Amino acid sequence: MTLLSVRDLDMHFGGLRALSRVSFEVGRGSVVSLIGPNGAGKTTVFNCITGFYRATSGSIRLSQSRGDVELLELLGAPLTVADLFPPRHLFRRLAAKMFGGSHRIARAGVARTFQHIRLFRELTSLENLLVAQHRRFGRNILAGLVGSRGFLRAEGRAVALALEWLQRFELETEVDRPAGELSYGQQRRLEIARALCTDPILLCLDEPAAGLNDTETAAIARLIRELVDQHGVTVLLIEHDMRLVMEISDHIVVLDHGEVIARGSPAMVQHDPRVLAAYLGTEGEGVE
Amino acid sequence: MDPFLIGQQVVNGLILGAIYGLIAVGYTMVYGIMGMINFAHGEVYMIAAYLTAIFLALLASFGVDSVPVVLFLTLLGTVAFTALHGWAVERVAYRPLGRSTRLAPLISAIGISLVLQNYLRLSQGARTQGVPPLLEGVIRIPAEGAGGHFVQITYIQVMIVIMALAGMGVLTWLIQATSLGRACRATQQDRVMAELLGVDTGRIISVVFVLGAAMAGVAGVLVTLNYGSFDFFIGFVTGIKAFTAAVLGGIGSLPGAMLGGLVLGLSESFFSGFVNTDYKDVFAFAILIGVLIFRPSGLMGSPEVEKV
Repeated sequence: MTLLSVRDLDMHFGGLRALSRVSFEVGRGSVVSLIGPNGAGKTTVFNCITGFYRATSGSIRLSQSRGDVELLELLGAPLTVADLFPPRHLFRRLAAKMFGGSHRIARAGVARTFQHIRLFRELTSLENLLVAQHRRFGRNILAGLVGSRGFLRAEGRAVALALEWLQRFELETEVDRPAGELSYGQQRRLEIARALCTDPILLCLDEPAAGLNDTETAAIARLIRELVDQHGVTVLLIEHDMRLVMEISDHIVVLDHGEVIARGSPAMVQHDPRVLAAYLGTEGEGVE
Repeated sequence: MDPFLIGQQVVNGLILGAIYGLIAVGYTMVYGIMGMINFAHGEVYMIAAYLTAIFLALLASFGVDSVPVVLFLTLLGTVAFTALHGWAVERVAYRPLGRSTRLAPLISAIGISLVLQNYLRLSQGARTQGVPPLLEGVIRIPAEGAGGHFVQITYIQVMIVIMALAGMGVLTWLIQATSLGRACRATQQDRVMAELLGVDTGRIISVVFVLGAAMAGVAGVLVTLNYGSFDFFIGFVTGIKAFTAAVLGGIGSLPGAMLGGLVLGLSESFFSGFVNTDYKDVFAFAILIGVLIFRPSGLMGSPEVEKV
């Protein structure tokens, strides 16, 4: 069953076409990897999906239990003539224009990590995870001020969940340390834990193994697989470590110059001549 | 030097400093989260002065004459209205400019500041206005006066110190220990990331403006009860002074704003007590210049770290 379906995604920066007509699908409960040479547009795809950028055109649909949502719409994509009718549709579009923004993407169930770790460095590990659950607390300032029972219970649940993930990611000894003081590998794990605390249905990991040694990479691979198999998370992955990609992916999408050049299982992609050409140079340039 | 004179200047300085600190908190929180100076903040304080007079008159006309009740209701009403002003200023003057240059909100701030001043001038008149003293009575140390010398503290001044401490205490607790404060700190460190985690940062910014304006409202009530007179232009100089206090303490730092307020208040009061009253503003701004030259990150601010 399809969880995320990207159709004809275009992203232009001025005259530069970073993505052109990118289409792919992510099945529920699978690991899908985006690979391609540097500058192929992998991170741009991520940025469009997670609301970091506003795609120029195309569609990104996420299927939730309540039905499909169009992520570009949540970001407040420009209105077109087609949006005028029916009135209910127009109303929804106008509401998204007024209250839309990338926080709505996160609330729709998409979480991400960054290639360059982006933790709240001055907040403790625990606080980092609690911020990610902010939207699920009673957000009423008065309830917080008087410490109402519902508020305290919600806060207690959030702390419990955060501690559970910290333990799972072997960070239980670092609960009260500022995130900026953790080791590199710990920061990577904390970032994934934080993304999971938003309770995502789709987790986008941007080079989770970058800068890790072989042991740590193997641990991350095991962890990702566990998240998918035991917690029902769907993972969209960007990774340069081909061994990791081939090992854990169910499906691979290959990008080059902002276009999808191949799609398929790891075995299929590995032997696709276009993929080899993209990675090793075109056939004409190759040594005969 | 006369120890009582020194003592009196310390008292005056602490009271002035508490007021500066309360207002400086608004500057520093907005700067921390948005990286801009809300130059309309002083006007919120000025509006609080008018609101105080209005509430006092209203309560008197309803025949409420118990001092604690009057104080409480005036404070509550004024803070509610100034908080509303803070919220509205952000909505009208800053949010629409969210995606524009850094300079645009600054100009917009000056604009909204002029609008607020002149709307008060039009609706309330340009004359200096006043309120009758609500709480009279002084504490003298020593009580019988040592040969005509003593340090004097009025009840209102005692209240100023208590209210300022309470206000800052509540604010510190709110920022450090609640989920809302956690979201504020996260937004301050990395707004985009907070948004990607589902925090509605627009809402957090509104909250910060409301909190800052509420603190300025408290300051406005206390100062009005202390000095008794005000006009539509008092927000300017006090606002700039409080801004100096925020820079002095390290802009972006909450305890820094409070400390900066106290340091500025004390030095101003000592300068006017022992050197010259007319030049006390010059001295305050000389401190600002000195800080900007020798310690640009302020007393408690962390040095600017380039964000990747």
